[in-house]
Amino acid sequence: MICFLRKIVLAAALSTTPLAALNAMEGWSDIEAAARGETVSFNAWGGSPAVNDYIDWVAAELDNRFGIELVHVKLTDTADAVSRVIAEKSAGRTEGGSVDLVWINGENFSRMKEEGLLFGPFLDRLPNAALIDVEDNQSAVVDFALPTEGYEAPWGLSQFVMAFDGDEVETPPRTMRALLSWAEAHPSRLTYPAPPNYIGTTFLKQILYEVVEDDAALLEPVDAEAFEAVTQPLWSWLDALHAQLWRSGRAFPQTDVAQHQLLNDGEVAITFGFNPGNIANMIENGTLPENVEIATFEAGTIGNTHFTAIPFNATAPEAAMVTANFLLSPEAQARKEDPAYWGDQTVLEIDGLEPEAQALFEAIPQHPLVPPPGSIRPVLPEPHPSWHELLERTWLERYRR
Amino acid sequence: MLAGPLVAGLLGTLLPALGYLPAIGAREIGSTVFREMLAEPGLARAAWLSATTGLIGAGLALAVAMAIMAVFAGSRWWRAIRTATPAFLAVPHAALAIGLVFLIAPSGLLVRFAIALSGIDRTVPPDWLIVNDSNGIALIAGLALREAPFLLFTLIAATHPFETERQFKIARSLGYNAAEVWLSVLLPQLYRRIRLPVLIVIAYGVTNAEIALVLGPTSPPTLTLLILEWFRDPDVARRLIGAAAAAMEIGLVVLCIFLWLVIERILTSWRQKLVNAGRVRPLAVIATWSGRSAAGLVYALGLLAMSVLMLWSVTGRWRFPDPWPDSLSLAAWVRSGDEVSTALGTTLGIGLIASVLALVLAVLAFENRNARRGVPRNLGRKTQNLGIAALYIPLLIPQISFIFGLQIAMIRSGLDGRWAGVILSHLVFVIPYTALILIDPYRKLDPRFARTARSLGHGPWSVFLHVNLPLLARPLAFAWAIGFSVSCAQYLTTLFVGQGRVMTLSLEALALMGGGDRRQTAVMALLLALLPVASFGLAAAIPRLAWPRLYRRQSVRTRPT
Repeated sequence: MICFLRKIVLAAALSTTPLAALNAMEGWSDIEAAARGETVSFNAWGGSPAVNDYIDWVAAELDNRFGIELVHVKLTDTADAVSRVIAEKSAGRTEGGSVDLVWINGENFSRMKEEGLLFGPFLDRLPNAALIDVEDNQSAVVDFALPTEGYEAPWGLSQFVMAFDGDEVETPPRTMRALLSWAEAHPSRLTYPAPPNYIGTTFLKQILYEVVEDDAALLEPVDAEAFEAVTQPLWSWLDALHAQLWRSGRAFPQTDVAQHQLLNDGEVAITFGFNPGNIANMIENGTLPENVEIATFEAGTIGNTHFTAIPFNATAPEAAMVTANFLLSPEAQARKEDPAYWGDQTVLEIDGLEPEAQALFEAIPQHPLVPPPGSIRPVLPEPHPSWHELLERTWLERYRR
Repeated sequence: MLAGPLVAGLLGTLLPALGYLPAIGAREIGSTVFREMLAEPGLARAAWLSATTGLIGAGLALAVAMAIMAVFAGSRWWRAIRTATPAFLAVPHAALAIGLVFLIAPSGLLVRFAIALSGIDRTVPPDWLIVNDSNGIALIAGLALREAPFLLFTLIAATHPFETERQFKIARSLGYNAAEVWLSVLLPQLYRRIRLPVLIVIAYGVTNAEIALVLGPTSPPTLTLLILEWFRDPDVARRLIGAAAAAMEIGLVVLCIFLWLVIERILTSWRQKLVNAGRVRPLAVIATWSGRSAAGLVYALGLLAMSVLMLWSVTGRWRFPDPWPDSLSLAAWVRSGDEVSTALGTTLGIGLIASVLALVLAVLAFENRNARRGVPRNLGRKTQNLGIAALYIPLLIPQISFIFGLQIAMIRSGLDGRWAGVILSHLVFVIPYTALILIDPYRKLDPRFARTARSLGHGPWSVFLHVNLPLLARPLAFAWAIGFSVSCAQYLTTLFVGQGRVMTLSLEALALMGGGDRRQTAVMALLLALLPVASFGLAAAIPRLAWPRLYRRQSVRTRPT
């Protein structure tokens, strides 16, 4: 029954009918046949050796099982892949494009979708799409308030967390009020990545959720006229905080990883990240010190899903779909959730899986620092993208001059 | 052949700046985009920072290079300095900057040593705004540190041994000390020869992303970093603003160069006054002292920064305030070895082809120019000069804005994703640097050698092979090495034109450096430096191996160029 319900929900979310899904399933063996011998150019951020190793493993499996060659194009920024697709469109290359699959979410996705740069909808054609947990995780089908409509396949789940030096921070400040008083008591020991870095902007949204009166409004397109009044508590809070920040708020780390390095150098006591398992992975490999602990905010933490998508002019869309489907398989998802490899939460609904698939997830050794998957609640949805833009803009106007 | 990519690159900047980028539905040409850009927060401050840090950094680098030359040329330290200088050029900009941060930051090695030695009990680094300071002082220091060796290198290459020695002897016999001779006689002559490299350094200082990203101010950052931010904004319409700012940056560079020429004039006349009044000695004393300390500082900081990187590359854990890693590990090297092994061959292949092609093209152009020397100035010559000036445009604007247009042209011609396309786009950046090194050696090449050979019945090819090639072997070899290093360092060009299908070392390295793991960064920086260092070593060895009788001795005074 649950399984049936899920299919209905999924089918509704994908704006398709169960019958169409069935037909699509029948076509899957044709897709696999067409994919054999193809090369998939997977454009994905290449900054983490752990993630790169994971993608290497995926490449080996794809080669063995499906005869697909996966090439990881290591990006420093997803925007570079978007740029490439735009350039190809500008030059009139509507097929044979250089990007087959891209690791994407949020604004980059919404822009590519709006500009008609994506192939699809394709999610309903992937057999493993039926395993996705859409009931507990809205963000699997609504990416930053934008319905994905099957134009991208969920890959992993992230939640905003704070990591801190356990010797210096005895009780982690789990509300914004507590964070401010902690900063006042420990001047220059806190900072956050400067927006428009996405962790920095997420920090602003996290504050906003706590200080705004009506948080339902955050899911609607922003009312530009009311914006100033609605966000006033956020800016007053930040004004008070900035004087207490590292370097008195006159310099900010430009990325989250730069702030992790500051924590390792002892320059600050707290850093922010989007993935508890990833923080654990960094403690294991020595990028972060061993006394680091993880905490989340009481009022809930912003969570979002990251996806894979196929550009409109991909050279091998079938092979890209087979890849996206494999990335959603219980085997690939379980390995990804294991902090020994990556530590990224799965997007599958474990209870709905076959027993042997469930066993894969149960076998993952629980890291003492990482809250069990699904235990960080509530998950706050990403505000509507229009908030994102205005928040960034206002932050820059106030603090960059 | 180069005009195509060049024009395409420029159009790719200028058309979006005027509001034309059909791929994202922007078709209205006008000044709207410029107006929007001017309303961006922090724009004026960012432009001011770019200009001041670029100009002061370049000026400081020049002063340091000249002071080092004046104090050390011909001394017993000279050989060591000459050998060490090219090695500095091979170090990637970002790597040097990162090494420097770990040295001078409040949590850096110097503070750690101070704490360890003084016995102060301190577990938290001082909250000093040393790096990323809002006036860009750390950025200026980083620029000077990186560019002083480059200018010193061009100064050495521009030194004319016979002439220099003669003038030196005469002046010494009149009772002047070494620094005085350099200041009053030799440096003014040399400056004229390295003027173009100085202008390139200014342009680099104003537009660079690598050093500014690591050491520069953050709120706002320099103009180039703002442009990068706009070009990478998920809101594709922001690219138009980025393009407008890139167009403005070309103007900013031109303005800075103009300002420099004015400053240059003022300094020249001031120096002339001192010389005429016979008051060079105080200046010479200052130059001697500052030359010594500058040389010490530049080389010590550079070496320390690199040593610290090496140490980090084998670090397991290393926490503040420990002056030494808590544990050592080769893990980062082992991991990287797997990642980069295939990229190494590609980098080598592309680098070799691009640098040799650039060298051949540059030599052909200069031989042709020299052959026409003495022909009255005419339109052909003028256009040729303009063409050569246009070659330097790619060095004057941030790559990311230029590369978008370049990429579209490559896709249109079907060269993207292939070695040929990547090599062609590398040439856009490799040729100007190669030519830069060769301009002066060719200018000061005595035409009488070639003329004599020709009168003895040698054809142009034979003259080149038997006269010019041996005479110019050293600058030619270094021009090749510089070109090779530039090709190795290309990141955005390779990514955009190679479409991710041509994987080079810098692609692998920069992706991993973005991960923020300092150990990984250190390994990658060292790996990136590997091929360029090897090429400079080779460049130093080739002339001596090929023409042992000409290049037996190493002294600056007797070296033929």
